[in-house]
Parts: sequence; structure tokens; C-alpha cells
Amino acid sequence: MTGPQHGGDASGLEQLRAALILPQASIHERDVFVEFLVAEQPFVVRFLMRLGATSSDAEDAAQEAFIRAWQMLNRGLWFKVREPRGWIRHVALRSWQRPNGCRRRDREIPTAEVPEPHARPSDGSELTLATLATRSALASLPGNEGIALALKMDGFTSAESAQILGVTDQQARDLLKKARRRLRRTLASEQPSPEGRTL
Amino acid sequence: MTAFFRRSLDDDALDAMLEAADAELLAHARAVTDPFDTIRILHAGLGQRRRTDSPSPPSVVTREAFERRRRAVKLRYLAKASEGLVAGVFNEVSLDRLAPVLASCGSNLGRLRTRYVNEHVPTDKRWMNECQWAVQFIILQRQRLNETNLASVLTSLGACEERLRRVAQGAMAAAIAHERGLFEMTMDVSGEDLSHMTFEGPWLLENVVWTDATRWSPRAYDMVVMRSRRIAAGVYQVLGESPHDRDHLCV
Repeated sequence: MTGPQHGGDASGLEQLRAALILPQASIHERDVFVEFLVAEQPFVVRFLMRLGATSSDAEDAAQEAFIRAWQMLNRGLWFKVREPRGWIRHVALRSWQRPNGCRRRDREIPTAEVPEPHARPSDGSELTLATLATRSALASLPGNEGIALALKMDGFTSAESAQILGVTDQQARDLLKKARRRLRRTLASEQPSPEGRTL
Repeated sequence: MTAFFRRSLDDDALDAMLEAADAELLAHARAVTDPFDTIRILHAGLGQRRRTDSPSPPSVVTREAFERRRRAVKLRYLAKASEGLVAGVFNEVSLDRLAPVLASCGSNLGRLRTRYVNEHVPTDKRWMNECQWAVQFIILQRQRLNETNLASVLTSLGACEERLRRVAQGAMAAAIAHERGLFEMTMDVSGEDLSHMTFEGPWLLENVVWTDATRWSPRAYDMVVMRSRRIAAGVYQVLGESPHDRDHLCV
């Protein structure tokens, strides 16, 4: 297979998609999965960045989660996942919390067929100070509070968050309240900084 | 973004800050993320798990440890069912329905006693014997009972009721303590080949320590990876579940 010159064009996506072979899944299932991956991966990266992951760690963890989803698709299990958006975040989160995961270590990208990556911004380089402060406050939230808030910001209901976090609905709502209260306190105590200035 | 300079934040201001930061983070995430990279990795087949190690099959100790965990959960189930039955015995006012409840209660107490003995769980076996006997006695006498004198018979067996309740509560407490002890104990399966073992749920793997060399079946691997934390290089531990997660197991 000849790799596309750039990752973002539609023909490249078609080429890659057509080349994916899935013994246990239909072409339709494969296409649905690829659409899901393309649409959701940046959101998963953002989800982890909210919790304090660097962009490269977040990207790695998100990638690992999608590879796990792919393995499930290969075994015909992916479409049994009731809430794929929640599942993928859960797995990515676990993967990020386990930075030297066993599978990440032996992952290699076949560079022979892959074009040079685009010039990418270094982590946080174009984020404004206000965003960095907000992100830092989010990342400082303890344990499940931060995750509950990050899930809420991604549109998950309390019931869905509860399922992902393995707590009751009421506990999920409590976590969210605590997170917001703590965040208000943290952000209010921040020192004033020039608005909109980039680092 | 003026809220950024405030000393106190209301909900609206907080939402506005989060929204603004979130939009910026998403733009950043889109800039650094290339889903095509992931698809290329999938295409290269690197999404498949590699197995280059040669782990040893599960030891007898490991197999027995998992089996003990299974039995402990079942035991708690049985104790819980017994507790419910004991409560039910003295709430039954219909003679027709009392007999089967009593019979279930008697046989459950018998099963509990046998299992506790088999599991070497310390519990009050004397009371359990007595209570089982008392239940059997009521069963035997049920033909002589009728709706009218049922209440007085049960009242006269007040001591029996109290004993039954105590036994049921004691059995439940012993079962919970036994289960907690087993699940809080760390189990090391480093380097073992568990690929042929089946696990009813993640609860069974609670506090299990495993390594890169440990082999799992695909289903177990999914459960384990999602719930593990890294405790050292190449060493992971399955996080604890809440006790009610174990309730998915049927006796």
C-alpha cells in the first residue's frame, strides 16, 4: 500500500480504510469504526489534556485506546459496547494513567510507508494563559472529581459518568458538585495575568 | 474572559471559562492529533498484541486461589439468602406458604453449615445446628398447625426465632469477613499463562499483580487492562472493585 502524502485528505482516508482488513467484521462495520475514530480521537485527546496529560501523552493514550477498540472489532466485540464514547475515554484514561503500558513499549510505526509527520505545535505553545490556568486547575482536581467534570464537559450524563467511574448516580453528581466548587475556589484565587497573552 | 480576574466565581463565569478553555484545547487537540496515524498503525497490524515471552502455566496455588474467591462470593450469597429466608419465616402468616419457606430455610442452613465447614470459616456451628433442628421440627409439626394457632406457636418458638436471626446475621458477617480477607489479599500471577482460564468478571481479579509476561485470554485481557494500574516497570495491579460488583455472580 502506498501511504498518502498527508493525513487529512478524503482520498487518503479512503485508501487507508480500504486497506484495512478485518476478518471478523463487515465492510460496513469497519467504515463505521473508522468514522468513529476520525471523529472522536481529537475529543479523546482533549479529554485527557483536561486532566493534565501533555498533548503527546494524550495522543499516545488515545491511540492505544483506539487500537484496543480495533482489536475488539476484530473479535466481533466492538459493537457490543453499549457506550463507545465512554468506553474509549475509559480505556484511554487507564492507558494514560499507566504511562509505560506493556503494549506501548513495543509499538513501532512502519516509517517506510509513512510520510514525514506534519510540523506540529509543541505542547501548550499556542494556548493562552487563561486556558493554561484553567487546564492547570482542572488537572489539580483530585481523582474522580476531575474525571467526572471532564466527562460532563464532553456531554456525558451523570448516569453515564457513574457507569464509567464505577460509582452510583448520586456519587457521580456529588463528584461533579465538589469538582465545580473546588474549581471555583482555585480559579478565583489565581493571580491576575494579562488577558489573551500566549506563552 | 474577564472572569479570570475575579476573586470569586459564579456558575456562569465558571462555565464561560471552561467553555473558552475547552474550545482552545479542542483546537489544539485537532492540531496535534492525526487519526490517520492510528489507522496506519492498525493497517500495519501493530494493533495485535505481541507475545514473545514464554510464560509458565498457572500454578495449582493460583488456580486454587481463584477458586477460593469464587466460593467465598457464593458463600456470601448463600448467607444473604439465608438471612432473607429467616426474616421471611416469621413474616409468613399463611400456613400454606410457611411450609415451603421453612423447608428452604432448613435446607439453606444445612448447605451453609456444610460450606462453612468446608471453607474452614469460623462461625457458630452449634447455633446453626440447633436452628436447623428447630426449623426441621417446625416442618415436621406443620400438619398440626392451623391459621388460628400459628401465631401462638410462633410466639412460643420466640427463642427459635431469635436464634435463627442471630445465626443468619452471624453467617452473613462471617461470609463478608471471609470474602473481604480473600479479596484484599494480593495475588501474584507474574509470568503465568492464564490464557485458558475463564473469569466470570473483573471482581475475581481484584488486587491481582501481573506482569508483561502474564498471558490472558482476550476477554480477560480487556478486563484486566482497563482496570490495572502500573506499580513498577512492567508490573501492574488490578484495581479493586466495589463489593456489589461481585453480586453479578449467580450461585
